[in-house]
Amino acid sequence: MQGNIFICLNRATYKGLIPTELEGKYSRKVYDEEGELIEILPTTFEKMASDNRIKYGGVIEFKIGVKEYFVIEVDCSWLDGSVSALLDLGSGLAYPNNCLMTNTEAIELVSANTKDVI
Amino acid sequence: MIIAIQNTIGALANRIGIITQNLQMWLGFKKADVLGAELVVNGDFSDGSNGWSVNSGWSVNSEGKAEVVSGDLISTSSLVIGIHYTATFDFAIVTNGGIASCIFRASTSPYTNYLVPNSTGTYTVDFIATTTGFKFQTLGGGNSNYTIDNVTVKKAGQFAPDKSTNTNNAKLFTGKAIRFDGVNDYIELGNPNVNLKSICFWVGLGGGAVPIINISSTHRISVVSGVVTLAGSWGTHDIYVNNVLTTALGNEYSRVVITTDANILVDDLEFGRGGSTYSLLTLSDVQIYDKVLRSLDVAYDYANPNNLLIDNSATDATKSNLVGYWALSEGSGNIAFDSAGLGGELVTNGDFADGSGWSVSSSWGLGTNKVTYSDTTNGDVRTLYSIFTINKAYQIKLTVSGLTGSNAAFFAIGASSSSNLVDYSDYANGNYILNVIAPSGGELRIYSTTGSDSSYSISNISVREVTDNEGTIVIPTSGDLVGATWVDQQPTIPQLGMMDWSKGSNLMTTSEPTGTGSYKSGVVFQPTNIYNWNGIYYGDNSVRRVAFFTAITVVANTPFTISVFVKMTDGSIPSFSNINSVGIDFSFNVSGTPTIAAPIHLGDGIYRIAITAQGGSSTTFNILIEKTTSNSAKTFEVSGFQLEQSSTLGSYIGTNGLAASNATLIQNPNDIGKDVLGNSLRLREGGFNLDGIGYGEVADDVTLTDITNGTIQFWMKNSDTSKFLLFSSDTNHYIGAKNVGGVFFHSNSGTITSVIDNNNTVTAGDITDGTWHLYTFTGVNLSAYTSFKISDYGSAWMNNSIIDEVIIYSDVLTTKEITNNYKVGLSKHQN
Repeated sequence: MQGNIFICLNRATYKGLIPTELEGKYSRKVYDEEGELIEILPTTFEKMASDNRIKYGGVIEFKIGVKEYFVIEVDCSWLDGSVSALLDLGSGLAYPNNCLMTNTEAIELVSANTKDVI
Repeated sequence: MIIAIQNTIGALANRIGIITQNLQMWLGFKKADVLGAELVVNGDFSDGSNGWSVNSGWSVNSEGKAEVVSGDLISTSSLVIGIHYTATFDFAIVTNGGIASCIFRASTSPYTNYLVPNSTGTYTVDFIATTTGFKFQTLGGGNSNYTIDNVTVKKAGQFAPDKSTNTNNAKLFTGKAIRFDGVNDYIELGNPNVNLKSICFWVGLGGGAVPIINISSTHRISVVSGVVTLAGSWGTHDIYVNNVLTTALGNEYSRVVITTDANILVDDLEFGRGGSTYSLLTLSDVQIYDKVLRSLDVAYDYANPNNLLIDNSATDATKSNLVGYWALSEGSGNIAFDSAGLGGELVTNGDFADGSGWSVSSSWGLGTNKVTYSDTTNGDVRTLYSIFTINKAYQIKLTVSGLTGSNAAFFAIGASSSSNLVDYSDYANGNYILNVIAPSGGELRIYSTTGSDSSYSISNISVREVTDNEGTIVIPTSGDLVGATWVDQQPTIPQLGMMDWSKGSNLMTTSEPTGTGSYKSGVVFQPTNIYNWNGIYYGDNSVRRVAFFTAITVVANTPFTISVFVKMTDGSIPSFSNINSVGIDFSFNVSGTPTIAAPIHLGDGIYRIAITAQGGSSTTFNILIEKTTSNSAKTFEVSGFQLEQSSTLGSYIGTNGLAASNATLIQNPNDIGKDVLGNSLRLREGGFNLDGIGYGEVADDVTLTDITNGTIQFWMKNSDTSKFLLFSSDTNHYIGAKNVGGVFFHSNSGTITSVIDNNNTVTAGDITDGTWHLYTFTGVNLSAYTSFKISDYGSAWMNNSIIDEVIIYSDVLTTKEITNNYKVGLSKHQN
């Protein structure tokens, strides 16, 4: 399975809670033994990325200077407001802080900021 | 008597043959050619310049080759823009006046360059046509002479050949592959601990300098600027791309084979990632051999992508040399199964991370990730648990290192105390791989005798069963997909339509327990004896014990089937029900009034049990296996949970974090007729084995579009009750649409008459009975068809049955002619 958008999160956002628009799809939930929903747990982007690693891929971590960034892949829609919510995270911030990206743009950002050993 | 009559019909059929008058297309699906028909007219210049537009700078010389001084050599053959082609030609320098070369390129603007030869040789290039023509254009600035000869251009892909004279070959789109997005996708396969001497894979590049396959911490296969690049020491090695010795790799699907004389241990296998670099590419059919493949193997592998090279009678490679086989044919779920047929690792601490699991005698010492023998006394190292079963086949691997002194002291690998599998009296440092039949059961034992000051260490011990045993399977090694995306309907790569396969859906996101779930008293997570999969064990103490496996979601008011593998400790047949009652072994507690099927015995006391229920309005609930004080006091193991949105039990497909839908597995070469999970395959029986996803396509041709009142005839073996559509051009032009009832629908403006077998009227039972039938449609009008597709109605209504001998006539067959063809085909289509 594949997501449809990438976002480069700064550390504060990555460790912070996901926007409410994403909660329905990505928040952690607790069910009882009969399968009934009991509780919706506060969920961070870090937890969300971990929960969806198999679907969308791993978290790419890198540094620019001393600042840490985390590129994650998600599946979001304009219709439910989740894309707008992600856009708002980067409002007024410099690239690549909380910047939404296409696949090609994500490749360029990651390859420019990661180094391989072989 | 029946057999005698049948044989007589078959013999008659062989003599009379099918009707060939007005035959326009005949797809037999006996085999698939890896390239399409030749498109170049007079590519060998045997007919002078016919088929070429030759300007004054070119001439056909006395040797029958096109020789050049200047200008263009333009083919009059026509290509289709956007289609993938493979071209080959001979280029030879006669006189090198400084610039002895030309450009093989598009004939008109935009002048896309396909290849620039630079020395005498035979060249092969895959390209996407950007114009309808192609040419050889000289490079200016020199005073050279060179020749071009034996020019061929063929469509790339796999084609079911047309047995009529019209070359209406069907291109096949039934391949599956895995795509990596270049950002964060990969497949983690861990440490297969196999020795690589050859590796084969299909790859389609997406751009950039990227790793393709990571082998180990030092070895990696990458592509850099279109060149296959190897990291690490590969010794003397050869790289083949599409059966040509070259490192040049295009963007279209290519078969890459690399052979090496080095000993490369595969212990950190990843697809689509190497280190911190991720790949933008598509991958399929990865095979690893512990043997250096010969050129004849490489040629067979390329020419027969739907077969393993060990199928070639001329090869000296055997199935035991195939140590890793990731067909990547699943198409769903997040497991890439290794179909090589080796079972799971039977040694739990083979790298001696500590001493657990081993009995180490005093003549051996436990070191860091090894055990070391010193020349003091005879002694052994052995597992504390049983590994071998008598007469079963195993592959044993270990590494000897640090040898000092003489090698007079031998070591032996044995099963139990006295049954040595192999003795070594002259050994050296290195990796050892043994394929053995266990002479007895028991533990793995490594035994050494006193020698002349000898000392050595043993490490990386591995034992895996070779699953060449009818009816039994063991845990398959697998790779976990991380974000990678399955793609289907792929041409060129191995075609499922021309292979035997199994298909399964499992809506359980994790089919084997992980040990982190909720287990009540008396229920224990453990690796079970059921194929060595992870499972849960139910004890017999008198408390209620329920294993909640997971919450599931089903479609409301739709049938679903739950199944598990069960092994009773006492070997008895499991007794189960939907609700608890005295005397049964366990229950499911599915709501409603489900149907309980009889347990299916798979051998070794392992049963597959299933329960089918009609879903209600509630769509989410827990799956559980319950055993209460009212149940019998037996112990048992459970694994392999499967949920299907179906009223019937399908093939088992394992999952590990993501549900699988219609996942297809190919044959385990060590268990003929079955996949690596032990499911029986659906045999293609010489036909086109459609899985409800892939399709075939015949290009537009006047021999088809001239038909206004013709016949389509085909054999089909179908048990699928869902709707499907057999033949179409687009959504407005189709024939053979099975919707409801037994009749076929069509878009024809005229009257289609459908008959089955020997001129019988089509009925519903005839269509879904899972047996072969001959179908004949007369009155067919193909004049508006822009292509003739088999099972592709805009990627909907896909067919899930076997189709064979698809024949098109330009006239209407008579009842006598239908009878003739029925008798001809009957011997091949026995039920």
